[in-house]
Amino acid sequence: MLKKIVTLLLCGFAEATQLLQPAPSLFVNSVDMSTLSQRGAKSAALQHVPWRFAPGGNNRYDKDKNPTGVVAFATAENNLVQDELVKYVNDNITFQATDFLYRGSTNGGAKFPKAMASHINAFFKPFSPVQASDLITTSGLTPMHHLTALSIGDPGDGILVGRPIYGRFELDFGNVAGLKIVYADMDGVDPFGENGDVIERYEIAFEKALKSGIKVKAVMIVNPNNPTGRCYTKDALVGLMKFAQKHKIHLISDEVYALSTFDNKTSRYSSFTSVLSINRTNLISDDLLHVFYGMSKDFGAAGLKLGCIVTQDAALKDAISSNTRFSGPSGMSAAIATKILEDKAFVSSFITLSRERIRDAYVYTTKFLDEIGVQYWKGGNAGFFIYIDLSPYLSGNSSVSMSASDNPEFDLAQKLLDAGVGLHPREEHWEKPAFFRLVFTQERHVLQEGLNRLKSALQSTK
Amino acid sequence: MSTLSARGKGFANAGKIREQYEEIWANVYDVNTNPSGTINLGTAENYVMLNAVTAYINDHINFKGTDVNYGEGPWGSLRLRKAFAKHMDKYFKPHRPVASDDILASTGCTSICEMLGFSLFEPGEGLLLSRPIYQAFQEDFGLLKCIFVPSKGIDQFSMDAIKCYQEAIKESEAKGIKVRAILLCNPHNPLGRCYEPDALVEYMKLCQKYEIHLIVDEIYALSVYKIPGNSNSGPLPFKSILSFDTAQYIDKEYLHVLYGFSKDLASGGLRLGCIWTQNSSLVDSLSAQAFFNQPSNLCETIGISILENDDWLDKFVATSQKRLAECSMVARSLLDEYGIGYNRGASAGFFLRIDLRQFMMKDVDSITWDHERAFQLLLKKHKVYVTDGEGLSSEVPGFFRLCYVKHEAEVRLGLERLHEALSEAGTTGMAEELDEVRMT
Repeated sequence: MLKKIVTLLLCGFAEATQLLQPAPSLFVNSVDMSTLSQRGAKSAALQHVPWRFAPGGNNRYDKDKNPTGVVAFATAENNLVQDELVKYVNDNITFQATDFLYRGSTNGGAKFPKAMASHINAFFKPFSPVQASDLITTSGLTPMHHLTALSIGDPGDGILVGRPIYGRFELDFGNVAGLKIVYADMDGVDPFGENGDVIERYEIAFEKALKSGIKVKAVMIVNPNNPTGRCYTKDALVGLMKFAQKHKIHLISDEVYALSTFDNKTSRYSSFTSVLSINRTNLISDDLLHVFYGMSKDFGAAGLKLGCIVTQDAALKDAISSNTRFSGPSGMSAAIATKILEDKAFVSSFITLSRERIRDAYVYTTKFLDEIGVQYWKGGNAGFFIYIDLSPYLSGNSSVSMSASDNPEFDLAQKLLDAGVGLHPREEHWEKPAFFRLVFTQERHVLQEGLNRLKSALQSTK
Repeated sequence: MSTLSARGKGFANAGKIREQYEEIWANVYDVNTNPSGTINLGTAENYVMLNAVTAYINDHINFKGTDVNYGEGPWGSLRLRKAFAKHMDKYFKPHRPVASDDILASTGCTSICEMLGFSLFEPGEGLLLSRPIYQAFQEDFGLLKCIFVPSKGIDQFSMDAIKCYQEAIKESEAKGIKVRAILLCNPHNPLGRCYEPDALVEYMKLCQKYEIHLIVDEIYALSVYKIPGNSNSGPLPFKSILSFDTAQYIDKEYLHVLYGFSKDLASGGLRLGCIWTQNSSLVDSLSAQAFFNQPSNLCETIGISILENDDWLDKFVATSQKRLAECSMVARSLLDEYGIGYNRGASAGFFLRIDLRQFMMKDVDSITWDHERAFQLLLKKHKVYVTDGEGLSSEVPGFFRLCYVKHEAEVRLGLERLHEALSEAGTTGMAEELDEVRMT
């Protein structure tokens, strides 16, 4: 066990320069884990898997201050509207004394749940209105994933997801809760229900997991999808509800990009439908359907650290609530979010502005990719990203220095990083190699710089 | 049919502390808007400095675009960690300057306790805690075996108490429970006293001897006060464990210190705390969990603004300590009026330990935990709340924790209600309440 940790740590050491700013003492010289528990040591080792984290985060490109830094295409932030949001906050927020108290922060305090429920009712067209009591609030959705995992699965249980999908669920559900993410192959079927029988893909994966001894406790989607920017058809959503009900497992719909949609005239695909907008009678029971939502994406406010689960399952709410004091939202963040959400005129104009800018950046980026001949998942109409196909640029040579296993995808990612472009290999678990999520919601000059560097780097691989 | 996992079911049934507080917070006393609400004299918060910190934040904060983004990482920005380090350098008189690299920020000390529970203990392993002790520790570390060490009449802040811990370690090992850590709360919650320097050295040596961790929660470090004319020998001033040359007594892998904004800086709602440690493999392990407890960037900005403003912070701390003394004197004189005993030697924190035994029952030695529970029901009826000794793992029933750092009028009214409850207990013997307790 110790030898394995040593190997992983030594490989990880080389990766440390590509990690997000490392924890203060992450450059571990001593590999002595003997003062830790075994479970503590094991989960530490999981962080040292090569390319576990998005590259370039701690050396970001800045035109003036850090021109040789990395253009980080791999972190899903919306930089296009942060100034408007911050200005609104600075101009409009006055904190109250209660924001500083435990009761002002626990579960979002007295006002945030109501404001969020009202926001969801206004924008998600729910079949029956969402109540404040349907929400539990934590310090972001990352802890909510973890608390949900603790509550619905025991160690070794599985969460079924389709490919491709956000890659950090395996950390969020796995690091402490010990759940496995089971990836369903799509095998040529459109993952979002536009052609073929996508539910069958989930059935096959469910059976396969069962045979290999994994009890699947939930099926989870990200809708709009991260990384492709595509939305599920209503039929696919209904199909998933029935699938979950049939197997008596949870259906979790992570709708964190719900309002980050845009009008893509070249797309013939579905626009966003919330599971909440579907009449679930005879489809799925209330204690099996849950939605994740928060402030991080639609409002570009990941720094607030506010995330919610929306559910009518009383037992699940009790189980999660037992643990929210460990991942408690701050009273100040709740106050800011409440102010924003209660100002419906501001929300309306902000969302409109955000959508315009996302769309402009999408059009610009796809045009650039078309010109340089890079393929990507077409028809996206949501999210901050395009899922690009760099398989033509893979080289057969593999260099062992950066990875524990020979992998040309890692080599390609390293070449790009060396050229000052941060793209995260294999993170979204697509069935084909060398697909990367490119986040385009950056300031235009940064986007241009990054795309130009990408172009040169790809040309130099040929 | 349950949709939860086995451990999920455990969590769903475990909500006692939370439910109790939710009930109180849902009907909070306010002199104008809710005079029939419950007066909360059981939550340890600094209500008298709230306006000062709120006003400061409202006047000084100007958020930047980067404050709404992801930030540097789940351990807190470098600037925040440097600010924590500088704060400790200034106020804790550390033996050597505190390095920002040895600090990890999180969403409060509660979160750090949970992470330590996972990183340092297998389920069922032992954590030694004093009796009494802050009631949430027994839930904060996860599925551990919490061993509450009785001091059996010995002054638990003196060197003499070490042997109680030594005995507890031996007893646990004999029962097959591996002890992994001792947690000291210094200044102490709920007793409001500081450990003697010699005792702190002995705890370090004890942990070194048994190769176990010493976790020192110093969250009340600056919440100390002086009662003028206190006839006791004088309260022991707070001495941080960092002020010792700890390398002499304990390996660096075993010593960890907790600190945060919730008490000294009256900002529990900020959700900001930190651990100081020099155990790099522990830092590595905490990093795997840190994403679940990442502070809000905006709160980091607020925290930095507080810690970097030396002038304002000096005045705030001085004012806070002055008001803590004033509030304590008000509470003490009211308790004296009612003839309620309390620990006169307290010199830190927001609370006093009050002895309600003689009011609950004439034959003091026959008091049971049922009597405490019955009394809590009576207090509920009288719309006042104090922390019960059972929750605090007191050795003997009948001692409660009174949190009094509030405006005088509210404390006065709260104690009136408490006194009425005590009178009723004396008259009725709490017969009805005892029946209710015994039925559940």
